[in-house]
Amino acid sequence: MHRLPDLRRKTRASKSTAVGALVVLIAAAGFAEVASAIAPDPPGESTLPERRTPPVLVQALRPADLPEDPSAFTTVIEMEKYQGEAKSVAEILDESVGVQVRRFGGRGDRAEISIRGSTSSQVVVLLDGVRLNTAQTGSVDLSTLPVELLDRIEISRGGGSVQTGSDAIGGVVNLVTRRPGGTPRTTASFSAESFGTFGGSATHSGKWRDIETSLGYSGYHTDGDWDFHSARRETDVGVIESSGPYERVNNESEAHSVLLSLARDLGGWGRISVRDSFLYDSSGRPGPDWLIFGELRGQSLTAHQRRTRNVASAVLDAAGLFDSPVGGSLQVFHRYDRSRFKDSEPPFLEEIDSDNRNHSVGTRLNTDGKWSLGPTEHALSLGGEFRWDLLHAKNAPDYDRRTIGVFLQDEIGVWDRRLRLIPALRMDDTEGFDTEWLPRLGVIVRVFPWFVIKGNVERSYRVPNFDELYFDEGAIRGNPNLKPEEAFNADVGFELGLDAWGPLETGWIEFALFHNDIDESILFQLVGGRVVAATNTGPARIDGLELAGGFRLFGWLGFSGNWTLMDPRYKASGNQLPGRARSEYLLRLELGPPSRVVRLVAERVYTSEIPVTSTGGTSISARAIYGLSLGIDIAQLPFVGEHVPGSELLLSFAVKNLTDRSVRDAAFFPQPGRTFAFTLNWEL
Amino acid sequence: MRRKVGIALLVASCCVLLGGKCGGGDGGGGGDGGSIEVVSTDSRCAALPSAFPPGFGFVPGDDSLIWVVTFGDRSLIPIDVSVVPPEHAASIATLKIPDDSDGDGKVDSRAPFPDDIHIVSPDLAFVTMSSYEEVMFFSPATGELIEVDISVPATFAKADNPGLPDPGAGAESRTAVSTTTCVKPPPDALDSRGAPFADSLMPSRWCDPATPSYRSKFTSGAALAGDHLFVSVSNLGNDTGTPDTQYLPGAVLVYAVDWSVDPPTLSPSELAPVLITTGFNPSHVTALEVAGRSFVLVTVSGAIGVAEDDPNTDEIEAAGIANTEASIDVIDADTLEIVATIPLGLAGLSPSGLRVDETGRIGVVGGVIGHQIYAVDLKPLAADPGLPGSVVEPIVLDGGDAVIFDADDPLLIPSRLGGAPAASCPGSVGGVAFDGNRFFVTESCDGTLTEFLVDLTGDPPAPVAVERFKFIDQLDITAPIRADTLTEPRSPGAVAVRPGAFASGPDVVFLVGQQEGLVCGIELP
Repeated sequence: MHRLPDLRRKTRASKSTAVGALVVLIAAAGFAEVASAIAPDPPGESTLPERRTPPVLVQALRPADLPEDPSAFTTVIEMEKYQGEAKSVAEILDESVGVQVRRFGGRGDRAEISIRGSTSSQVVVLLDGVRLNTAQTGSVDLSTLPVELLDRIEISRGGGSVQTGSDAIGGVVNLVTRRPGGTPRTTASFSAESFGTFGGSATHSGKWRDIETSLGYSGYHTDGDWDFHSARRETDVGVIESSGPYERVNNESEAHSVLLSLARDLGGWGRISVRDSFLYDSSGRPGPDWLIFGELRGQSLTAHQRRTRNVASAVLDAAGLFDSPVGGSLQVFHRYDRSRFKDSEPPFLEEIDSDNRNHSVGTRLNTDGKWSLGPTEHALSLGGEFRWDLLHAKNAPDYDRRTIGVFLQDEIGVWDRRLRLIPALRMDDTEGFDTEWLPRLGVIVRVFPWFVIKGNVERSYRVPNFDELYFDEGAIRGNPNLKPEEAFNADVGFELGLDAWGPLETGWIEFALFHNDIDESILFQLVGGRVVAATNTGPARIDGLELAGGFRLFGWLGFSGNWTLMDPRYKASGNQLPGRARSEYLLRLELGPPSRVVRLVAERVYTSEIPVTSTGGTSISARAIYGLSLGIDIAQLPFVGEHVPGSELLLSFAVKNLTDRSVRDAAFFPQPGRTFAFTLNWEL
Repeated sequence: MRRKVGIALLVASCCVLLGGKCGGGDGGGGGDGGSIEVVSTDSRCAALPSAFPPGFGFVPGDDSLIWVVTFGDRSLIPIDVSVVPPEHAASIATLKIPDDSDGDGKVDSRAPFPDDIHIVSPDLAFVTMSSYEEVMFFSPATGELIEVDISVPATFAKADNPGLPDPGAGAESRTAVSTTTCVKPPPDALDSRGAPFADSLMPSRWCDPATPSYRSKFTSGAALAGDHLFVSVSNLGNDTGTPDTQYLPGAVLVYAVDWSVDPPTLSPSELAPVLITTGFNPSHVTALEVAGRSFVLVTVSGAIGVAEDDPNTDEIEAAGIANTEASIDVIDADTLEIVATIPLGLAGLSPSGLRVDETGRIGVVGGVIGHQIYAVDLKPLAADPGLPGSVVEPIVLDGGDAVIFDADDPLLIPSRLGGAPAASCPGSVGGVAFDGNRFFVTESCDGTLTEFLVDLTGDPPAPVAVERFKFIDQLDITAPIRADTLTEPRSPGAVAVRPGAFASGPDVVFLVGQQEGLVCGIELP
């Protein structure tokens, strides 16, 4: 990936807040003149002992296997940074600038992503470049993603349809699993959390003869029987006080994930890799606590869901083929999702017994080359994609559709690449819908080595998913006449990086203004006296800003934060779009020596009021959540460490929701209160 | 050494595991808890705790106080409607329906959901409940539940009324009467799809093992007439939301009551505990005194399905479909028989039920399959000496006797310009309210309030001529149900005119269903 590599490494896993960013801004103003260069190594991590550096070899294999989008505002999160903090993928994503995650409970309960105010089905989630969004539902449940098997997460904010086609109105998330090969590395972890939650993982990567391997397992079980309080409801005609505690029932969950990755270097021919990622989970589904009655509060005792997912792919990567400037990659993939849901006694309905099987099979070809033409340097990408999505549903017709996409992108650099223009165009053709032409133009201006201005304008879209088109449960229906959602995305901002100066080891800041126009938004709503159906609604716009930054002092004190402020509104009425907080910020403080023998992390996450309804009449109050974690690497302790086999034995204790706040992202889905977690990470 | 390390790791692992279990986490999530704020975005309205409030009623003798029943939060809320927007009444508290709503000493096995409130007097109201089927007794004056001594005659089988005290075991004090009753239509009775109901029910699910039978459900209306309480039960079957929704034969449950004693008493009628209605889906009952005779008018809505979408059109087809005939059944409250029925055709009557003008002459009921209302002339009930005291078959009071507007010739509510799409929401009456010789109709699809007048001067012969009904005015009181109006209040429902003379404040009070549930007051032009 070519996007500002130095700066990007500085921004990895970084979050910011308004306050933090302002501090950095002030600092930047004073230090700018002395910050003449960007440190080549990520600050704070460059001081890590060599043995702690992840021995992961990322060769020519590009994890996304996608055309690059160098001008996009991107966050790269290295999962190792969160080791010992007992965070899920959803929780980690939620702390990233521009991202909000809507959680519908605790461990194993549904969690949906929103980027820059999008819906969850307007975000493409990839696992090693393979789309996880099913054609049936469109969105991805983040609770199904095993954090222990991931190396990093790449978040590209604001559009992305040129790279991924339909659905990328809000952005793209690429989950990169542990890479095969490199120095042999074996890890194991055990965790125990409140509410009867136990988890474990084991991974190994290395080389067997000429084949690089990576194997991993991750699993957990939770009783999920945490307590919650009913929400206090303040209305025009009185207050219904919070009551409780009540027990979250039928909320046990278990999941097992297995990763297998093999790769082989083909010499001058490039490299081939094969990956398979398997998931099985089984969870009770208590549903909403919508009822002010009894101990159950409307929770279901009978709903249960089992899911299976398998993602298999093979990639032939020929980047730099025979040392030529032309390279490429060819990926073939198959994704299988099965979801079985059963509820023998749903309220007001007859028994629900659904079994949906989704298949997605396809291929993606990407070629790129670099050359100079007069004063300009070009990096041209040309590619194509084919995907065939199929749905086999119990007691319902089968559906399938094919999608073909062709894209072309040039990255034109002038003045020693101080100015880069990135025009791109994609043609997408989804069976049953008109051909979409998706232009994009990105600009990167490197004003100083430490200061870069970026901007993008692009068109994106989303075709309706099968549920939106064809769902048929009597009173809840799809709509075969839906039109695709159409969007126009624009953003502009800068990235600034500072090198060491005095006590400051490093500092960085990123700022972006964004604007999204979305037409034909699709929503299930009441269309008649008794029927809820998917409809194209009126246009909406989302304006906002993102500010992220961080710095590290004395080698011991790290601070990062981010702030996202949005104004998401329906154009016609001016009402705020529901389900999104206008403002969210994170403050994160890390304290500990560079060796990371001991590390204390404290966080504060603020989320402003979340509107629940489209009228804006119902909203969930603002909140601030605190988290704390303490990790000790026993392997580095004097006297003890020398007796510990392996390079790391990290014993961690974390408290989530320290003040035991009542937390809800949706009106009738409580989340756990204060949660304790102990984890043990062992690396041989 | 290796062994020591192994032991150390094992101990560390155990610490982790035990720590996680014992540390537990208090996780009550109640400290400094967040809240959900519900406010009205319409200045004429006050937000209620939950959406789609099903009904309300004025307290007789008080032009300011109404009681609103709410659905999700299961409350009875006193509202002062003398101001705009309405406010919580200062003098009386909200009643949260208790977890033991019938006062039998046990938490209700299922949550009862309020369906409507039927206020009889300042001291007595009935709250109909579904799911945990019952009728709750409530005092609008005090805002408290009323305890009633309920007994079951020894001649009944326990299975006939499983939620009531044992037959012959004496009275028990209850705050609600269970309306889970064993209904036993004639064995050859058909369900709304035309199939013998006995065939569509597994014998294992019969409540009387010896007879095709089923337990009543979807308690829909309650009315006090004479010495009896009449309760309609819709008996909705399977496949709701489909074109061919199934209904089992409808019924009206009858209880002998005595409100003159303290505590009042109630028991299933020995004479006729269950009346099978002439059609499907009895959704409301209205008490009527005519010429010294006491009647109960049953709104038999008929089986109502929902249209299937046609993928070949651009519209979403979701209109209500009337699958069976509707009628107004007339029960003689003394003989406890259905003595007459007023057929209205494939009308799809609104569950808001029949409303009768203060003279007792005209009954009006809305439809849920279009912008239409229906009217019946009730004069024959008083004038027709032929209404028998004991019948085998009810007398049919048709177009020559009592029908003014029926499915073939309805009174049309003018469609709103730019209103709801006809394919998805062609019209659905949310409520009807009389004020003298005028009546007001809320229409949920278009979001309108329409005023009609009926001229009864000169005691016209029955049935009243259709020309005597005049359209007066129509107000847009909420947004129509269209894809692009989801940001505005929609779906007006129950409506009432403030009774009595008043110089200030709103004239009409109505409820709004979504997105927030609202209670609203407006002054008429």
